[in-house]
Amino acid sequence: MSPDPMDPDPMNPDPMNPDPMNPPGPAAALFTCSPSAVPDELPLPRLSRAQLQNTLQFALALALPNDAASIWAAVKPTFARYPADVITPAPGDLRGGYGRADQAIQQTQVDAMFDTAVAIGAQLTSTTARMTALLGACATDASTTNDRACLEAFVQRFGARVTRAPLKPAEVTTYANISDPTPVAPAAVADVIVTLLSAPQTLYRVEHGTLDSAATAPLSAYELAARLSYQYWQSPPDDALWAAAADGSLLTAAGFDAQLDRLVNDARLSASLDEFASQWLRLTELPPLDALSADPTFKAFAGSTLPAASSRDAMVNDVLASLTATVRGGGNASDFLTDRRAFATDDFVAGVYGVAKWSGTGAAPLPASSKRAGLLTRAAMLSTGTAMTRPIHKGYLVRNAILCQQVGAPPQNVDLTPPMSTGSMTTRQAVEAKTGSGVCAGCHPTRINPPGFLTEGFDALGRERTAEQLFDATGHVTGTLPIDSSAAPVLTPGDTRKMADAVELTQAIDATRLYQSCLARQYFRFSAIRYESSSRDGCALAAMETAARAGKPLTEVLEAYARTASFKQRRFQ
Amino acid sequence: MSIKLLDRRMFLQGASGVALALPLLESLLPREARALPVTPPKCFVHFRTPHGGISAANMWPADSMLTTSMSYLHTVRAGPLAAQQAGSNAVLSPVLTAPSSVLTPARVAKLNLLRGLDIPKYMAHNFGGALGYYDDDKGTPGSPRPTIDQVMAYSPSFYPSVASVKRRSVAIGKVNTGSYGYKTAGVPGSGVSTSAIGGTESSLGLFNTLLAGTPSSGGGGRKPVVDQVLASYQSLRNGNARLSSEDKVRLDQHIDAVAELQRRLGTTVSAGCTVPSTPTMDNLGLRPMDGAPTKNVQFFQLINEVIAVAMNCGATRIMTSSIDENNQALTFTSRAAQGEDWHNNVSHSASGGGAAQALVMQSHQAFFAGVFMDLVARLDGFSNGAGGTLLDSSLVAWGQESGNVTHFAFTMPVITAGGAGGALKTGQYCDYRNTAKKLSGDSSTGSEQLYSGLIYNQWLSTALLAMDVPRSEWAETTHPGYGERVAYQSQYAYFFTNVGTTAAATYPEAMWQKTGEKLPFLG
Repeated sequence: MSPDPMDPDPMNPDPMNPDPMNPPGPAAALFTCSPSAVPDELPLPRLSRAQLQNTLQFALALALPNDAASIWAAVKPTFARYPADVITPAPGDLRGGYGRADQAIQQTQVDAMFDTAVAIGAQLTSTTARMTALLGACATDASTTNDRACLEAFVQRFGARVTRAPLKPAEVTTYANISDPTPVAPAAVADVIVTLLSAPQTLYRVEHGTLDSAATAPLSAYELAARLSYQYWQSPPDDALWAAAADGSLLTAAGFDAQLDRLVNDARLSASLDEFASQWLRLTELPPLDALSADPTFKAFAGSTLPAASSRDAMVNDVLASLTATVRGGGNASDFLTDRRAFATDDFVAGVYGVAKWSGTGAAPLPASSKRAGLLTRAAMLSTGTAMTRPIHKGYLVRNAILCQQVGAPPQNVDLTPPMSTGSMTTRQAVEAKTGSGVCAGCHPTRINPPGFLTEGFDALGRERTAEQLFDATGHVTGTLPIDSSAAPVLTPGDTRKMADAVELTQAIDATRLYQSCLARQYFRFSAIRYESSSRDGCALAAMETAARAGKPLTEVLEAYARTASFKQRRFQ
Repeated sequence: MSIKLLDRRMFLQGASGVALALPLLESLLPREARALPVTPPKCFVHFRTPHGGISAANMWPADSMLTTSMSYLHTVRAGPLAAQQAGSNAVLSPVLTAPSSVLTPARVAKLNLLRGLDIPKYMAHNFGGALGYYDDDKGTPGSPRPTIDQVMAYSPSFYPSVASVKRRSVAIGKVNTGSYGYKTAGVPGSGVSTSAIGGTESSLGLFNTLLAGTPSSGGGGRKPVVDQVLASYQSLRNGNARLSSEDKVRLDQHIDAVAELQRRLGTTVSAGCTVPSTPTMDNLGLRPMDGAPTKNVQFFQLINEVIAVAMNCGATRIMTSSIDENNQALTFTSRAAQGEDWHNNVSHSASGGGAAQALVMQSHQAFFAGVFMDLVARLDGFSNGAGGTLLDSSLVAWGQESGNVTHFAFTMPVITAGGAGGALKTGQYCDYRNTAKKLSGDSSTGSEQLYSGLIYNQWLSTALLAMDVPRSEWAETTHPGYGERVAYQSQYAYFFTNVGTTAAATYPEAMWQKTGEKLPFLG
């Protein structure tokens, strides 16, 4: 097990006795590589819902590029029945987790996928024009002697790409036989398509390796291509990656590097990067911001400009665009943490930052206020959808998601009613009053609350503030109290510094390098689709951690996962 | 052979009396009588609502309704149900209130209110507890059991034949359906899956699954191609290409699901049950609906509409519905769920009474009148072919995440409708609490009182027995009832020790040995 960085430091146990002359240095790296360690293997990985959707859309584009969008629109309601992947927190955590890790096999998945495949098959073969475009003129000409060959050519071409490996002649025959006795009758071709789309090689990443005898075997070029493309693009291999697998260059060091660089530096990386960041930073938990627009308290709090229905997504996109821009610009983990650019695509969010709306391309404006510290002061990280901030949740997010310091669950017999600001207390004061004594005092005052307090210079819509206005249920102001955003967050054992605000917190987090180690841990969980073993997975973790802590570009951190030996091989347990 | 045709208004109005601005699924009306079975098949329905936290005063009728008592480990009480009229409503309690046209005296006589059932463990938040998967704090149970709906679904006693069954069970829900089965469905040896069964929320999807014709890719009289799909999995599973043993286990799970799909596609609904045309509206189209109580109710009524017809047709006989205000963004009130706002500021504040408790009451009353009673009324509108209604042959139950205080598993309310073909006596308010055994609360208890009662496992056993699933299929070795034998965690001993007792004394061996029996007053 990795050491818990929150263990008390026996040399300096009093966090309230700061020694500002000696700020703690970077925490030690958490992971080490033991080359002899053999990582666990995820058995028969099921495509996530997002990966499956991309695969189906890929198949449509492959089959009928001109009609793919309209066909997807037609079958989308059927695919909507495919259940969402469930996000489950890591053991010991209250929140977090990645949807990819839901590897359950469900009846509803099988049912919905079959119905979707049937719908796609029917659509692809619905007209003579589509049949011609799908199989070629051989499918609709007057001759019947070429029908079987026509179908087999389609199976070979379409089936290989959808199942991510060339089909053996016997497999082509098996699929083609489904259409007997009318090889190119639309209903028969549709059945072939249904079977291909429902095949295990389509819905799972089936890996046989290349050596039958060894417990751990190298992946084939096609298997490696599929790992790469689903890891970084959430999609099947594109033409270039497919070609590199076909000609074997992917199995060479240079060829692998070239493809990896291409994947990570392509805009399609955002398909996986957005999902990773959304789940890592729990952006999916941000509620709609307009649901309380009729609530008197919220209206009074929000003021003259209420958030729009689009504001929630705009706030989420602000974070994701920051990450994308950082990656595209060659930035590193610290750059993402401290990126102050405002990617506000919505008037309300632009107003929060005090900048002009970002067009979606080009340079994004910088907020004028120096209090905007970067990631931790982005509106999505601060907003609650109500009139009150939630320092406990903000603190837990920093501690758990940004620093990977496990806090644990509250004792179950405590009153979990959230502290509410009153006519005479700010939200912070209410939190302190509620959590400052009894069993709560074991964790809240030193571990959970302080990182949340340090962002109290921003309100529940992410707007900068120096005072907290207090309202009654009818929206009348009952008081205005000054904000105290100072706190001692104890980022590492012995860290006694009292900080003033989110700017200092951000700088301190960056300096500990725990954030970089945490990023490595989180990206491992997202990529390996399981939780790490510090003994077995040390090589992958250390590779990413080393790159992140050294300030390498984020692209190198992401690539480090695929450069490990375990990525290119499979263990047969 | 006769069938009671539903009044058209049944479909135009929800049970709550709310006029639905929705297209009438007239095609769902059974046009022909179905075959008369010797014994009408039984159906099981379970609704689970989140949090609990309904104050005793809001949830239950007055104690004066408990006119009978008997000694059963401790004194338990019961009495016949009778609703009071208040304007156009019939009232059993503030929550159990519905329009008189729906909560008629005849339907009141088909209800049971079961009070005083405890999961003898601190549960906090959970999805599966109400049906027997004791996932305290949403964790994995120490010794997980499948939920009883899944025991029924794969019981040869419940389903002697699945010839006309499209789905053995239907789980309604988003993110977590609260329904847990075996890793390989119906195979206890494969172990209990710790992932909830995937659910659906789409009324149109349900219709397509349960009532629409067999999907065919291209028509032309071709057989469904699912057999080829199944063959592709079997070929991979049994072929020469290298796979790990764990790969094969997962393939087996998928093969099992494809085989079930194959079976379903090969079935046709019961003779005489005309396959209706596809509805024009899906309930998912009602979203967004956070803070829109009428839409919240309509959302489930559209599901009820399909389920009732599907059960009448024998297309399925089990439905579970797990409602979650956060994931589904609905509260049945005009106060939006708003992420965790409802969770934090309403549910967890409710034990203090006041506005939060009023909202909790309002929410659950709307659910009871608009969703629970809506399905009850729909099932009561179908003949069971044996002189009664489909409701009479069924057991419809409403369970909750917690008892009268959120997080606490004391007095987990269970409201039932239907006598399960005579297996259960109905029309009763049963109070199984040991009112001589008041327990200690804590800072979150507010003004609520806590009492211990009988063990919740006995309710699970009662439901299984009512559905004709014999004890031989589920009795435990450590007790004769259903489910994990749990015990109070040491850190919660204070509930008991503060009042001079212990958890073990409160739920003694003698009580565990009763868990295989039907609950008192019901047998």
